[in-house]
Amino acid sequence: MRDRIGNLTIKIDPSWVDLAEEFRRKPFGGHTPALQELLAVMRSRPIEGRYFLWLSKPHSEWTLAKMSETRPLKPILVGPTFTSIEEAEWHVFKLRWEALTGQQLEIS
Amino acid sequence: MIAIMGYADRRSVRVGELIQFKVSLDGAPVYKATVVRLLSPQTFPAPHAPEFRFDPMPCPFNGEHRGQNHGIPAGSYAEIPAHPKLTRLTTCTLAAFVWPTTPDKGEQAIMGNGDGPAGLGLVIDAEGRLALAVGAHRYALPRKLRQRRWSFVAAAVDAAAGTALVYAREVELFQFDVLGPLQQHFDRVPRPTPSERPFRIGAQSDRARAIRHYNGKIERPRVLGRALTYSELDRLALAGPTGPAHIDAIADWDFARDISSEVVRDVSPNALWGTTVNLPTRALIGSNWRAERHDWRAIPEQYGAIHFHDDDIYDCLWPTAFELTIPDGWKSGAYALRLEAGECEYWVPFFVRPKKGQAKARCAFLVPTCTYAAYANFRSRVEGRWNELYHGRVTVLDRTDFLMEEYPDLGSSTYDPHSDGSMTLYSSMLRPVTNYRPTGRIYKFCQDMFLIAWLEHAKIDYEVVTDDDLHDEGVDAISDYACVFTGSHPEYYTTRMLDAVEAFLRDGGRFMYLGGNGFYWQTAYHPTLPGVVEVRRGGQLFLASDVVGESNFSFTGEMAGSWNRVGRPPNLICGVGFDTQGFDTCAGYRRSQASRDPRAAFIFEGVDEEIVGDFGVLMGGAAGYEIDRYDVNFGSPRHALLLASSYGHSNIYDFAALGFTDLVPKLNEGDLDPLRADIVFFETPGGGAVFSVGSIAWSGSLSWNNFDNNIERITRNVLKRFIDPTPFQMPDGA
Repeated sequence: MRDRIGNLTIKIDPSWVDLAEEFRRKPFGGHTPALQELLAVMRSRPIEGRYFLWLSKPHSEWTLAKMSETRPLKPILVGPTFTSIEEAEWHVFKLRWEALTGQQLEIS
Repeated sequence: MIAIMGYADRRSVRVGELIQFKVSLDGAPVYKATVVRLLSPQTFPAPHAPEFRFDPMPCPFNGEHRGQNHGIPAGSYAEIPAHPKLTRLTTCTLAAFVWPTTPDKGEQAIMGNGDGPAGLGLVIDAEGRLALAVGAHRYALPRKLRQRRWSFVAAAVDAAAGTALVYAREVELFQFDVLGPLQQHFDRVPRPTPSERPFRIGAQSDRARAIRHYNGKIERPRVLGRALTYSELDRLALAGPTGPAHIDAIADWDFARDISSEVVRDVSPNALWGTTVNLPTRALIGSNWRAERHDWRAIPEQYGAIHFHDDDIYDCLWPTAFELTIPDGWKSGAYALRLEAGECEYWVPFFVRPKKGQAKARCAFLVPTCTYAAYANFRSRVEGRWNELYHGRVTVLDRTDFLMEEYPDLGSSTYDPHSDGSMTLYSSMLRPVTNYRPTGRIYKFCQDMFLIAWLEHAKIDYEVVTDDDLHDEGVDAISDYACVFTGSHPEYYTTRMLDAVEAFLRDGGRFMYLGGNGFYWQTAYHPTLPGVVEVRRGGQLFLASDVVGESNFSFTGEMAGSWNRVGRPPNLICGVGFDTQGFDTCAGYRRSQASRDPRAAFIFEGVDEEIVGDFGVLMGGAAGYEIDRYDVNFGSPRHALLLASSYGHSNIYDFAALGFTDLVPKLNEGDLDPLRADIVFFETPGGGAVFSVGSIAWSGSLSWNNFDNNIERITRNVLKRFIDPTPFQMPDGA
């Protein structure tokens, strides 16, 4: 479901830690339908203020960045810097989880 | 912040021919220029990807240069050269049909000869109202023009009496909520002073510059030699945009004429013709379109609207910084002008061909420059909301990607909306193109450098030809070669390009389609202007807000859309056609029984594995990004051998398969097996043959394990046989 401005409106339940574990194990590739829904919500927020990765060294180092809240978009480097794209992806997942549930993801 | 950018006047140049480079530098006094031969892309660290390599070429202008910022003159308009009948307008009537898309963006010029305190014009004022402008004075109607609604608008000036009449009336076109005529009379209007500037439609002069760009459509603008009365204006509004020149016309521009060109024809006896600047969009439905026919060639009089955009850009018109006549002895291949300023780097690639009639290699890389043009400045990759969703990954961007945000006038690709929300239909290479480089995202040009890296590593004697050449020269561009192979994504094809490849195959040519989602969109080059393509989606792309009735190219008149829709599916030329896409992971291929057929023995020589390409620099496989499948229902030849099919694609590949109608596909991986890339081989009746891999990611596997792998072997086997002159025989029964 989507609201009037196009945001997907699936409610994220902070108890769905199994989905977070699934994502951590395999950030890219096939996911269960439940995780697909969760990721669709995370990945379809408005572009303003959204996280992305700044290529700080060609295909070997990525720095967490955010789009500015207004257009034209400006990159805001917020860090940290990663040398693994999977780690960067997991870090963004955790930040979005917290933003959507209001709770930090407690996972070892 | 320092920014260096550039472009060239062409993408393809023969030895002995001239290429010109344009450079603009912002934020620094000097930059460094070096011409290099490109040998591989900037990609992942070893061991599986090639090292980034480029060789400096001896060139007289290699070295440091002083630079300056030349700016980008974005925004389209029509311009009629200064003529006394238009520069000295006093008593007159200005009239047109308009369909404004951003009436509230600030003052916009509809038409006029205004330049600072001089001249007069018809404008949308700062409050979104129709107004007469006389010098700095504004005489506005009390109501706003409505967005995306046709109105007849006019201003009649009586200079002797010092009066003016401003008039607007919405055009009735199926709607029930049309606003009727509104007029306002003004006294004490000063006499318009002469202007020395050209008459402009869609923008206003500020000395030589164009300012106050209008967003929206304009149809049948007229300048009449006397001040029309209210009832005369009413009659003109109801008469519509068609018909012969008005009896009082000083100028009467009929945009329904010369639709494929830059010409703006004045049908009055004064013949005050003009030209469009920066390619505003033509062949769009006008105020009188009745939704009965959908091809502008049949009823041009209902397609007499031109859509002007404040972000249209055809040619940046920067002065030539360097020109280079390609010296004898330079090998055919990929080259670039490398520009450096501070920490900023910019690449201007170009391709060198041998002199005409002097091709020596047996094979050629057909570089998909038409596709590069369609994607030029793919703004949605930075700004687009759905990018991350259908890529299945957090978006990765670098400084060069953000140049489009720092310099919005760089314009958009055919995947992006204009600033007013209408779709971009024209895309030019005569501007800096931020995604045409051997660095950054490994896609399009950058990925095609993998193929160059392999050709160099394998010491294959090759030459290059571009899509631009294939379109210009037809089959002659490739007929010297035994074998031609494509890049990773030859998605955009004109009729002439398809005809040329087909003629090449009928004459015994061999064709290796080493990519995915190829030959997909019908495309048009401009009939006279170099370096610009037109794409219309025919309502077939979820990103594109196509307008019904506007699915024929303005450049050629041909029906636009996918080649499937047009009636010439990619399967006919290469045996496979687009299946789906996904950019999160790539897969391997499983060989079929047909791969053991003696006809395919040469392909799999030295390849014992059942699974091939289950590795690669691009997301771990040779099959992925965008993939194609064999399907006789779309014209894949029945005698083709379906050699292998990919398997195990992720659910992200489900988005495109669903037609992007559902943003949350919910299939399990096992359900997705029908989505696949197919490797196909078939012979043609003239002794030729086709080999297709149906996957963009293929070339990303060539370099795996220091170029020692089954994808490399298969590609080399096919190329070796394809340059052998021994004719292929059609199989029995085919």
